[in-house]
Amino acid sequence: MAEVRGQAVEVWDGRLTLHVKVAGDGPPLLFFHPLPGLAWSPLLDRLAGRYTVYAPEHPGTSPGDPQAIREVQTFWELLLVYEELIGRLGVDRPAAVGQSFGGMVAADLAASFPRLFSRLVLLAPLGLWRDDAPIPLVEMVSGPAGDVPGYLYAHPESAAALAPADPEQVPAAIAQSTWNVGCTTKFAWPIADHGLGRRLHRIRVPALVLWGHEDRLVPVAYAEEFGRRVAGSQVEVIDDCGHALGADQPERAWVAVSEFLAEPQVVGVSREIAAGPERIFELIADPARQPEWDGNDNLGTADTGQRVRQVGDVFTMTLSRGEVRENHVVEFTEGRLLAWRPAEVGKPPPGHLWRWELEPCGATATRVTCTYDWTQLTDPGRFWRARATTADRLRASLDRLASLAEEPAG
Amino acid sequence: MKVSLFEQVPYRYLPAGFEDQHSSVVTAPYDVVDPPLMTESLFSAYAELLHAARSGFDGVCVTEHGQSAYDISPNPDLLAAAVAYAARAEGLDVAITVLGRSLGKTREPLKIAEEYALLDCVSGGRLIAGFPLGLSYDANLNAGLPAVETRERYAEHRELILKAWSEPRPFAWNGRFEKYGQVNIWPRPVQQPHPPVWIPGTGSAGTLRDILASDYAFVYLSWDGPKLTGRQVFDRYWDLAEETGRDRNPYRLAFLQVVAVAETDERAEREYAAHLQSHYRSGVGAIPATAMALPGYAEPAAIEGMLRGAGAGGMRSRLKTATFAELVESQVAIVGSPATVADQLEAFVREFRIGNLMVMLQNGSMPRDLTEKNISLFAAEVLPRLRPIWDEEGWVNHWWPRAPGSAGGQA
Repeated sequence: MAEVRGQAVEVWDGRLTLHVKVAGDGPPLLFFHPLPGLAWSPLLDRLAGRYTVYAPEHPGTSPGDPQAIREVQTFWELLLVYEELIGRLGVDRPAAVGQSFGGMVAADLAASFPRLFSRLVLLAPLGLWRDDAPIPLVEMVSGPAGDVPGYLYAHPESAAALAPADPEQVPAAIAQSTWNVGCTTKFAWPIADHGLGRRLHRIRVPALVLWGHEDRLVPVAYAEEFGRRVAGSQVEVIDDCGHALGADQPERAWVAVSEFLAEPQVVGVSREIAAGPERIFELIADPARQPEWDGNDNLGTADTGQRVRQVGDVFTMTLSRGEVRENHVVEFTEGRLLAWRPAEVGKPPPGHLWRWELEPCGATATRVTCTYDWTQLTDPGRFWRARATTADRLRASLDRLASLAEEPAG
Repeated sequence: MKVSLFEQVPYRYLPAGFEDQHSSVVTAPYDVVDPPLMTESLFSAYAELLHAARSGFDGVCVTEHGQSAYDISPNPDLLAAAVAYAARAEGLDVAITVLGRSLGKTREPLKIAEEYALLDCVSGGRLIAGFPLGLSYDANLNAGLPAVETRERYAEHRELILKAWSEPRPFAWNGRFEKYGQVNIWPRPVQQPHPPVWIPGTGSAGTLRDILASDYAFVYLSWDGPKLTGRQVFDRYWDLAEETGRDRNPYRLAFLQVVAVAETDERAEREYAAHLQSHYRSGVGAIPATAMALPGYAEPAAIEGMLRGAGAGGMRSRLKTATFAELVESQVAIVGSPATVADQLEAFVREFRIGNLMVMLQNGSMPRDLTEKNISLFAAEVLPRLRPIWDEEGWVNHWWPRAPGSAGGQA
């Protein structure tokens, strides 16, 4: 198990101290917990093997500090508090994973502050409401404790007993988890809909919507609803799985979450070409030559006379489908380096980038590296095309470039 | 002392075994109701309240519960208004106690300020203003308000209502929950700056401190079985009164006791036992425990205390299966001949220094004729023994209406 340490972070002009559980090493990842509070789960433990996991405790749910919930009056204030927290943690564009109530928090943070996160994982989030798929939150919270597993697990009868083993600890544990639900439902009561559906279009990062097919708290119909409203999102539904995905299907949930989080957004290929860099560079820096080595039938034609000379140049390319792109040169070193960001005519580039790097390799050869980088891509409509731009595709172009460059001159 | 009739408004014809299948609140299915019998149940409650006013009770008391089968009183001011008018028209000097509109539940607190003020006017200054928090199921389920905010809403609403009653000029209210540009209600209470305030509670130290600090009266209800809980609740109250520098004026304390009186002990049991037993099973006893304290309604320390202190809640958790004998033994209900009832009440009232007594004489399925007998017999043979109990100590009842020309303020 990962070593979990506590960190107290003062926010909200000093009126509120958030208690954050931190574990692991690697790129930052924020986890937002579900209704009953933060429990360090196997999923978090495995995430901590790859990321630095920051799991804040919802205000009021930290033992010994119940009144902290009074400092956060509205859901909007809760979002601001978390936005402040992320700033105080000093992490840059962390990934965010939110479960159930925490999924609603993470989704609204991503919608309210589109540049806050790099990636978003929503595990059966609350936050929307459809009359044809009512969410029995009130029924679960106000009903007998014995009924709760029926809402959370695909097989409630076999769900492990959740109460602590020490009977002396039971009253304290029940009191704490009951209060925790009071603190979270403050912003989800009686219907967890703050208008998130009207803001989801603002989410601009790759998002995974993961759901259990047998979810009896937030029905699986909401998976499609989130998928439809969060542009470019991927929806995955796990069979034989309830609302508590990590408990019901730990392995499949882990695979889905970890593969999504690890998805490469920078793809690069490299090879040696038996030609000097000047000769290869000319084939790249003159846009009219580019369709000759394009290995994916993507580029159509470009006018001659657009030879790139410096950062700030813009060259125009007509794609094979007929669309026109203005490519904005952002990196340039004659004979060595050229990178550009494509854009639609007259519009700012949505953020993806092509880069070519040439390095002389002995007297007669050059190591050429081609990179496609969509970490800055903010147009979710292009995510699917970006995902399709794989190393194989890059290699096809690189190989054709090599053939072209290695042809005897003449 | 002052003795009032307290009346709830149950549907009197719940099918046998109702409580085995249903909650008495929130989700109680309305299709168990026969509409003419609902009409009759409601009408009887109005009639019995007026019967008590005519029988010599000092006051009548009603309270608020929504989506409830055991107290169909979504707005008690509707009951209180009818009784206030009728009693005044007949020249009866009867206090009108609304115990009352739930301040933690309301979304329109100024409406309460206006309604109470109107009741005070119509009754000629005889209103006692109850300011209850509201039960969790009512505030948090029926009204859909987050449980953790209930007490904060209560505090703001109480402050707003009191200001609306006494502020002579229009004022702006920039509260957390309520925003108004110009508060200027019509009418204002006859009793200025405000009618006497009574606050019902289960006896938590926080509530008791608030009541004593504000110099209001504390109201406790007998449903937990005062033999089990009275010592703890009342002793705490008087200890806190001393601690906070308040006197031991018994009128600071109001208590509601369920009573059933007949000619003899045997007859009382014969006539009332089945009604009382079914009332607790299908009424208060059929409120799910979770609905009495939604998560957030009570703080972690209080929940843990409740879980550890088994029995501290008295009969509350056992009402669904309680037998008549258990109800009597724990004094949830005091049942018997006038002498039996008076003896028990007098001992109890003296022991705990209760100055304002409310008796609940209708329960569940009790029909109107039996209820009116209970009222008449209590008024004729029990009430006269209770009234002079505190006379020799000479306290003034500051928590009783000060109607012009009435006996208000006197014991």
